[in-house]
Amino acid sequence: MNGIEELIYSMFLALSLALIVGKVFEELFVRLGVPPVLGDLLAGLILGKTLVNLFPINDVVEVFSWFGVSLLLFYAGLETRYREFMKHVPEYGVITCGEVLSAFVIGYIVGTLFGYSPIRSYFIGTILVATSVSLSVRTLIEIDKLTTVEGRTVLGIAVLDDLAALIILVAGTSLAVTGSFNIMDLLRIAVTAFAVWFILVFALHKVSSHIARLAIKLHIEEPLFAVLLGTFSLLAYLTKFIGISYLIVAYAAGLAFSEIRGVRRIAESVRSMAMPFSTLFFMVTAASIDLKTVISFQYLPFYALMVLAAFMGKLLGGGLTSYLIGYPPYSAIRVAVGLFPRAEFCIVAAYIAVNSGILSSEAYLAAIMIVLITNFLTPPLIKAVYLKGPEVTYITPRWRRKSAHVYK
Amino acid sequence: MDANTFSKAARKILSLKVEDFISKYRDLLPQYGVVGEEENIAKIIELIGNNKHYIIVVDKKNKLRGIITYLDVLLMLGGPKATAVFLPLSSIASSLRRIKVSSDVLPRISVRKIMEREPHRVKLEETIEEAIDVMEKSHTHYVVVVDKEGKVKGIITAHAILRAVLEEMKS
Repeated sequence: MNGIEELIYSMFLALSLALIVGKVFEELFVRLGVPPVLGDLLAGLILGKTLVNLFPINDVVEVFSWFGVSLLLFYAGLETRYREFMKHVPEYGVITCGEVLSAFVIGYIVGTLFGYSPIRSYFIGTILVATSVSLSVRTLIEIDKLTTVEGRTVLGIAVLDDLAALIILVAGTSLAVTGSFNIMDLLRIAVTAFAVWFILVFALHKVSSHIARLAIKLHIEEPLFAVLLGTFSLLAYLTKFIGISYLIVAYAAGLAFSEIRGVRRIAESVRSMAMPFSTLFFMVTAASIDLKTVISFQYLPFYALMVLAAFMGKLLGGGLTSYLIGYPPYSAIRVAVGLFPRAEFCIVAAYIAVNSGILSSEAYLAAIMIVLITNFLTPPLIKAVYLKGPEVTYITPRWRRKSAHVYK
Repeated sequence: MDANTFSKAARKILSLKVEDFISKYRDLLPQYGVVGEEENIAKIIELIGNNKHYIIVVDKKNKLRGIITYLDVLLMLGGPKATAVFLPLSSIASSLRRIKVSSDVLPRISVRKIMEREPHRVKLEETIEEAIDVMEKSHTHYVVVVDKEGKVKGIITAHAILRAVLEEMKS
């Protein structure tokens, strides 16, 4: 058997394991009411290096899994609404900055406490940043509090939170390439990433409806899908020349195209296409890391502190910032609790760090624990804080209050 | 039925302008309601109760923003203890289309969160043939008609076009 054939067979083995075993676990976890991504991770843990060692990991499987993540980000962008996103930038930008910074800094401190170098601590911080709000939303809908002020704030922050986490992660990956930790470099990359992201979204959104209108006139099969995926791929390729991860472009392209005609069908197509490969990705992350050695009491303080930091970061950041801009204390706590759950992003960050040799496998296990524990604890916590205390109907930010007092 | 008269009638209808079609075959077209983006699902349910099967969502300037059909409302109904479908990352924050909610919460969700955004549309001066082409490419059986400024003028369904061909045959 020659090399290519062998790679193809391993690819089919990986996909079949992902779509059969991974999906069985996903189904199980959905029924338990936790994010299905945990199912993929468990399947990966069992089939991967930690236990059975059946899951094939090679370049082809990894390439397809990264392709899956970029499609997943593209899809997330398509499902977000450009107008709502832009509307939320000033409104919830302040709280987002506060909670992201606080989650990151607390992670950084935890890293330093365990004697990690700055670059390793940076990634510990990154793991703790991104909120995956879907579980909070589900719980809020269940108790019918999604339309409250706090519920809307959680939604608004969540959209911006993704971008902030993405930028921190992208800046981190560039650090991983150079291997040195330099604050100025870091800031430069972060600012470039942010600028590229913003300009791209803005410019592409301007021309997106023209592109879509031209595409629909084509006589080829699935013209709109082909044109969009083509544009996305080209942009992802071009990031090679500016030294910024293609992941940032994936989300930007999705958001820019989120208001074209017929976006719903395109989003569905992208979702179908992303599904097998993103499942593959999360299984690869769990399968490629040997966790046998890190499941030990020796690391218990680290895991405990990481999980605690995951809660504290959002509680301090989200709570304090929203309190400072004028939310009553109980509202501020409600907002903070809604931001607790972590999911996909946490795993992506940990995997990048471990895979590039910056962090070792205990960080990855810590990420899994964070996802697991935040997702189990958040629903009861949300119910506790939202169902007690008065309902808030309207909140005026502090900076607008002064002018109101003039009329008194 | 004569194949020749059918093809003649079909060709005539296909070459009609959308503007002429919606004025000539007004009674074949489905009833539709128009709501603002800020409304919630309660309003939609009320309109569906009044036999309006297509609900068009417009912004403050009356421009087309989205569409909701009765199927969209049904798809979100998940019984008393509904479970949600998880979306990756935070995309769920802006769009709740794929989530299932209980019937007592559904009426309070905003129209904007579940509507199909930016549906395909045809302009008044385009032909019925072009309208069918748009339906094919968007995999739907309806298309919204707008004027030059993007204001909603009506809705054409595949069913109405076929009925119009059949009526044309009779005359």
